[in-house]
Amino acid sequence: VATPATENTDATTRRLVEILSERLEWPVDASTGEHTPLGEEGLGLDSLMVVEFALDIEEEFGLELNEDEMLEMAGMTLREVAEFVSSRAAAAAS
Amino acid sequence: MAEHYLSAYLTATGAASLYWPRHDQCVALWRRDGDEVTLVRYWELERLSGLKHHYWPSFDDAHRRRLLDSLLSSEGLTLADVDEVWGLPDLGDSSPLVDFARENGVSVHSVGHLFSCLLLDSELFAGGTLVALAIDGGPDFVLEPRTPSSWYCGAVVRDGVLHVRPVQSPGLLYTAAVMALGLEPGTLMASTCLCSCTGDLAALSPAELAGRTFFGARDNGWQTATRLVAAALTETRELLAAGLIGGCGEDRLSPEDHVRTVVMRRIQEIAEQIAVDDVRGLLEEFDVDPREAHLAMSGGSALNCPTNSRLLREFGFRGFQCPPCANDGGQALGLGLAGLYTTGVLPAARFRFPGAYVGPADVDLAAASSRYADAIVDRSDFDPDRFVADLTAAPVAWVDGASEIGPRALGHRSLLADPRGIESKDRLNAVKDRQWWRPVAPIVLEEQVAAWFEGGHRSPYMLETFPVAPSRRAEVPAVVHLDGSARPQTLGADDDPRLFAAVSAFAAHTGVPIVCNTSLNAKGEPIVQTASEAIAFCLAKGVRVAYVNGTRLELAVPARELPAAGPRPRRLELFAGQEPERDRLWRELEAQGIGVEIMALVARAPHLRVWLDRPSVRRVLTSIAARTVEADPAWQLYLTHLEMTYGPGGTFEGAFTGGGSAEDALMPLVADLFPAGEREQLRPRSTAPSGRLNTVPQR
Repeated sequence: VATPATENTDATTRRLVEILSERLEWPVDASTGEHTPLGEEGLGLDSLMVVEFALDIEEEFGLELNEDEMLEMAGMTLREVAEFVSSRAAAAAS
Repeated sequence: MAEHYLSAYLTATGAASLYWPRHDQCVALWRRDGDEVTLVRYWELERLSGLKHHYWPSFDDAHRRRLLDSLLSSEGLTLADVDEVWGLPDLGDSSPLVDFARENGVSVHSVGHLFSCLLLDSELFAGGTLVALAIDGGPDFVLEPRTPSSWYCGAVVRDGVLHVRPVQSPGLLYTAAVMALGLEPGTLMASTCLCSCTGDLAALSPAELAGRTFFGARDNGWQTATRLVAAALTETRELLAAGLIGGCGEDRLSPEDHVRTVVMRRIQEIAEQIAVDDVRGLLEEFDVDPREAHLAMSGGSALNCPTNSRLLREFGFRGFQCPPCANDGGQALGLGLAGLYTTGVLPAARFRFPGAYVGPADVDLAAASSRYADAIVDRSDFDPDRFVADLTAAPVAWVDGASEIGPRALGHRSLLADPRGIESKDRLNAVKDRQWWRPVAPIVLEEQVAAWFEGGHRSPYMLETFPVAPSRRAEVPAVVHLDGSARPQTLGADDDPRLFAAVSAFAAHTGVPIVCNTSLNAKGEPIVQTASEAIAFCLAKGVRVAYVNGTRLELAVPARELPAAGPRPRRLELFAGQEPERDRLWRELEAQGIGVEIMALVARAPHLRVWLDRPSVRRVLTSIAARTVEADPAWQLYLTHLEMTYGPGGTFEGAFTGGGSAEDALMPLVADLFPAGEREQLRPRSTAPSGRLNTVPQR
């Protein structure tokens, strides 16, 4: 059942894919989705590219991530990143 | 009124000079008169500086302007006469070619290589069909606004309509081998046939390669390549230890030579297959009949002659177009042509590449005559019969006019020898301090190439390989490689009348229309530029006769001390003395918390530069740097190279002795990958490198 929270996460995931394509100019295709890991066996972003992605996310969502958060992102799937971004955005709003 | 353009593959100035490296720096001067474009002059800085693969920056704008003015002065121009500059982020306007690269989703670097082979003849571009590959080890990042995901490109142009596509490059595997074995790509290429040892390497089996790609950043092709090469070397050394290779009977080879042969033979097969697949993909997508098309190749991988020849043979292309400077030393050529294309000048105007002899023409025989007066015991005009007598006696140096561009000597800065005895090859390899098995290339009269080489045809820049006709091999043993092939330069009367007369005289006298040709330089130094450098080389190496601009010089060992052979600074005034400015920049970065480990990472991720004022970004980069050094020993070597070259205390002169080895100066292309589970030793070092090379290999 779709809840407002999961809809929000789905939308964030889609936005992350757009950021990958438009800002990072990273190749994405129809198979790129919520279960895609950022690293090996997934998008194949190395740690430097993850930092670039994190900085794009900061700009896009108006967040500031610390270095641990940036490094942790590297081991996540796109959905996990979306959930993380959503929770940070919610925390900032409350 | 004529317009002038410069294309410059130099470093950015200021802090960026420290963290955005470029090697094989070069500059091209272009002139446009109405609808006619000419390439006026081409400078590879290594010929002027003496620093092989010249990587020493201009640290500030004023120095770079002085350098460019000094180059332009030989053409009676200054920077103020130049209408546009392409290739630099902080001088001129490179946005048209940067935008072109981004629109096509490929690196700016690959666009530079692409145009250096695609637009050598504007009429062919506008009216013919070309299939092109721009493939090498990897890009520089100096003009990249973001880290490009695809590093290499291919293209099809039909009747002036250009389509660009990302392609895979065989260069990653070769670069991984360069760094693992500590040898230059040319040496590795020659290593594929040293003996008959074979090994069915599981590490490089079709099953292991299935699904692996080499597009660059987007598939971490660099990490794939380094892992595959490391695993293959480990496996092959185990085969050697088990006695399964090394027993082929070629006793002149070291154990490591057998290992290298087995690994490089397989890597060469894979490299060729990658290029074949690239070409097939382009032919199919654009429905091109190769018999109606020319193949165009550039990038360091285009110096791999067996690959070029295989593509031409297998697909039956009607022609081949590749610049003599296919490596990064050709970037200024390609950046210039890309600038002319993206600003709409070409192919509307006409341009035809004038041939290789567009390097600096400053031979200065007068200065050499005065400097080495006591060593020149006889002087006379070039006489073909005398040349034949000289060549049959011993190798001779040959210097004539404007130098050839590109890494291969093409008869303007050459050491020539009689090909009829194997001792010529041994002598040349001894003079060059090279392994005994290194092949020596022939110059052959063009009209006779088909009689001496199977499938032989015009090949003016030494970029294809042909089997030497079996019936002829015994006549020219010095130019036959161990696999029976050769990499000839064909020579027609129009290419160079004087050299043509010399080789023709040799042919008339001996019946052999071929001479041995190797570059005029000692180990570790660039090809010589001036008569003085040539004579110093001859005296140091015991070469008795030098032909300089048509004058025969007979040399004798002078009473005074012999000149030193080997790498040494040439025109210090153009490059040295920048250290105070460099130290100031370095300390400024350090004061901002940007140490050498961050500089090394930003070299690869240009976009991060704008974020370096944030402490959290500096901390995350420091953390990545620490993990990277731990995962990949090449990073520590690279950091040491950066500190020794660019850090306080390092000098231009010191780069000739303290700059580290080939592999140290090559920027590792990968950071660590996540998830961080396994951190394998990526790169076991060769146990027997052939000595420390003070060079940066071509990418």
